[in-house]
Amino acid sequence: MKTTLVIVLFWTLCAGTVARAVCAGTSVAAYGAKGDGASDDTAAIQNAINAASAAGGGSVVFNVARYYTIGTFVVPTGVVLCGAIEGPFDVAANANPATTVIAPTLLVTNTSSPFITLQGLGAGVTDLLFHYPSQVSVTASTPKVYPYTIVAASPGTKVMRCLVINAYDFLDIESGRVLVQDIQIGAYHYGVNVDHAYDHVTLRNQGDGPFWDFAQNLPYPQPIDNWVASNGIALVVNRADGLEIHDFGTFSLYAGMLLTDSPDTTQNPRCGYGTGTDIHFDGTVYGIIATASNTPGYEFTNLLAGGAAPPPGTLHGQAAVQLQAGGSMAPDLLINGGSEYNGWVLGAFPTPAAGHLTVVNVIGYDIP
Amino acid sequence: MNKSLMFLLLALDLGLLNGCGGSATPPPPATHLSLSVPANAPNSVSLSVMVTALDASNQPTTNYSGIVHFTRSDPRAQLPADSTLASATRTFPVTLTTAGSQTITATDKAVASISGTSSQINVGAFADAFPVEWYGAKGDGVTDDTAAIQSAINAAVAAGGGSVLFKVARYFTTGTFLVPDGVVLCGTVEGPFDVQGVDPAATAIAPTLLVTNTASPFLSLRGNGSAGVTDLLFHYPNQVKTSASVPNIYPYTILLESGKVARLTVTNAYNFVDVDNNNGSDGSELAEDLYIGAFNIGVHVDHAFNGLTLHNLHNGVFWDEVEGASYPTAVDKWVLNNGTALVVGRVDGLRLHDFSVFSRFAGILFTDSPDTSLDQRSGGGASSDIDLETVQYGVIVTASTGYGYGYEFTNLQVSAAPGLGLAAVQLRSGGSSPPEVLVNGGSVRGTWALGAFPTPQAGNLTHVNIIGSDLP
Repeated sequence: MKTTLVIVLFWTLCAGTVARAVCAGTSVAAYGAKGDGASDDTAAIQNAINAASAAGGGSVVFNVARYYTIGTFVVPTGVVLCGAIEGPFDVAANANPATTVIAPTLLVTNTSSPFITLQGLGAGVTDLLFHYPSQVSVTASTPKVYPYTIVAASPGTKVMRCLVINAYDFLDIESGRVLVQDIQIGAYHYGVNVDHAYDHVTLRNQGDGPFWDFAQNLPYPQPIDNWVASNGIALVVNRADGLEIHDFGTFSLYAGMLLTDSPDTTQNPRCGYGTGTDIHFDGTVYGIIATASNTPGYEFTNLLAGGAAPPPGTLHGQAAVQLQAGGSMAPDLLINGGSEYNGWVLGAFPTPAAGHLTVVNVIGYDIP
Repeated sequence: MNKSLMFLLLALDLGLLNGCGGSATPPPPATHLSLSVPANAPNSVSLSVMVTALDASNQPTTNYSGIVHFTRSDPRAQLPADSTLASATRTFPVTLTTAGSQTITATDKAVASISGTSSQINVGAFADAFPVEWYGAKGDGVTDDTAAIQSAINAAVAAGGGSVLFKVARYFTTGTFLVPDGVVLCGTVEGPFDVQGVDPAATAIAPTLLVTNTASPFLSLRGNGSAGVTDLLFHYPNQVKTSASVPNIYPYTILLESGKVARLTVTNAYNFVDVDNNNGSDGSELAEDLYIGAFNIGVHVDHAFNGLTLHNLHNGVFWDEVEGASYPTAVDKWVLNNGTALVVGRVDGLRLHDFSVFSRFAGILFTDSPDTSLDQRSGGGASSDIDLETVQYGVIVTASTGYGYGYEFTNLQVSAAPGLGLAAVQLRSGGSSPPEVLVNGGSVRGTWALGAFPTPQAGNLTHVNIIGSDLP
């Protein structure tokens, strides 16, 4: 009886059924990971994932340490990669994660495939910091291209309480019923891309900003920020049947959101729809660009859109929300409540080139 | 006496005694090894094992030149490679990864009898976790656990970071704590907690910190954004009773310069959380799932030069719940004339959701930072699903950001304190930038002396899609 109780308690502790305050499971240290920022921990992490999977699933736990990797990982059904302390994290001032331990950190160097693919029901990534130590310095004019840090390829997958720095593209959601919450994104090109989502996708509390400047402790703007102001988009939505987005803040990008057709022409329809609240795009050339939407379109409440004022200066604000022609279905958007500010060249909400744009209850400096 | 002469004499003396040409007596040979280890070890954190060569009389000896091989009970421990000791003792790093009682054994590779096994090491269940009990905390509600908690924080810092764990117990404290990057103070059960009919000073219902320090903020989260506090209950046992007319003043429970707070409850605080990045960091703070019983200010925000997310905050009269007292008590009257759930100075992009307030002077005050060195002293942002109940003022705004986007609300519900309601939303003059506010959807109820949305003294107030019994 007593032995049974002990076993049950032990199982309870090790199965991770406690508060998220602490993450229990298979430690990567148990499979030889060094976390010293220099040794290649790829094989050790893979062995830990294999062990968790063989046990029927579980958490693979990373200490507050820097795990240098050269490979990529597929996270299967029931396995969650998680940090040992609760995130999200930040690198606010002069904390370069390539040299300083401030969080459970994965150093990513692979250039051929997505770093982590969530390929199985319930697979997830939580409470981790991702850093690309071989990315260019912020004084460079063009970033180095990497594949996505994470691909969410299955329903029930989640990405929570993570920070990424110096990525090119961060998260590619290629399934419905994916949850993304409390993430801070420093990605030069795409923060999040959504496609093939035939059910709802929830994005809650996402922040996109120039974390690369913070990590190098250099003042904004740097030369790389000019590239981002011409190329970076926080969220690209292709086919999504029910996007739900809340608490979304971006700073210094080309566009906050691009709502457009999937490049996959086998899908019908190729575009999506959804709702969003409390969205703040600061310092963008475009707030939202929409080339296509499926019925019932996209509805946003409390959309704050600020134009890019120089510096970085080469591109001024073009439009808070712009509907463009050329998509497979005409875009249909409602903006109910919000504001726009900071010098829009073409007006805050220019007449759409296609589709319907309804704007009501907007305050701010630059109302047409 | 001259030291070299003394040594010469000593050597000659030994040589005469031994009759072997002046060579010294070798120390006694090693017969076994001892391993010194800590009693407790966090899972997956490197710990130091001190190996000492001992002679037959259990004394350390340098007369050992063998190679030590390590074995362990934990099948997945990280052990040192085979090594010499070089002197009588040597310290090795070992990482244990299996929860429970573990031992380390060191054995001479050539002579198996020269061996030793450590005492039992209690390895924790959670990676990087530092239970405060390991460092002497009693959690009995009486003993001062300040030093023990500080030791646990220090141990986490020394390991590069980790979670400092609090059980369901009452930790009495007299001091204050700095929580640096990579360290999260957390309870072992998930919060937030409630206190209906229970006094947390007397009964353990949650991982509880009893706060008595009156000089400084109880917890200061400082660094680059990786510090945190989660799943804890804070209580001020020396606060006045609800029958008193004025609360005792305490500093903020938590000064959040960077990092996150989540799933917390506070009862009987004066001021609870001060979000202020004025110490060099400018990260995005996160505060969510907080139950706040603070008499004066629930959350204060300033110097937030990046986004700030406040999600699911409930401000209530938890002091009445603790005492089982009927609302309104004497101290509630003070709160109705003084308490403000949220005060916002400079913030670039507030995101506030699921925010409820019961029985305060004001729900939210948006105003200038007192720091006149800021280029913009006020802020802006968007909020949804706000319920401000039994207040004299719902929202007071004296300034919003001069960048032009102001504050936008959707689904703002405001109800007046009986006989005391002054305004659901009031814009006042006197700020550094005229306030700009949109209320898009919501309701007003109760009797408002000045009307639900009085004409602003300054700036622009747009309110649309409002329902309720007391529309102007």
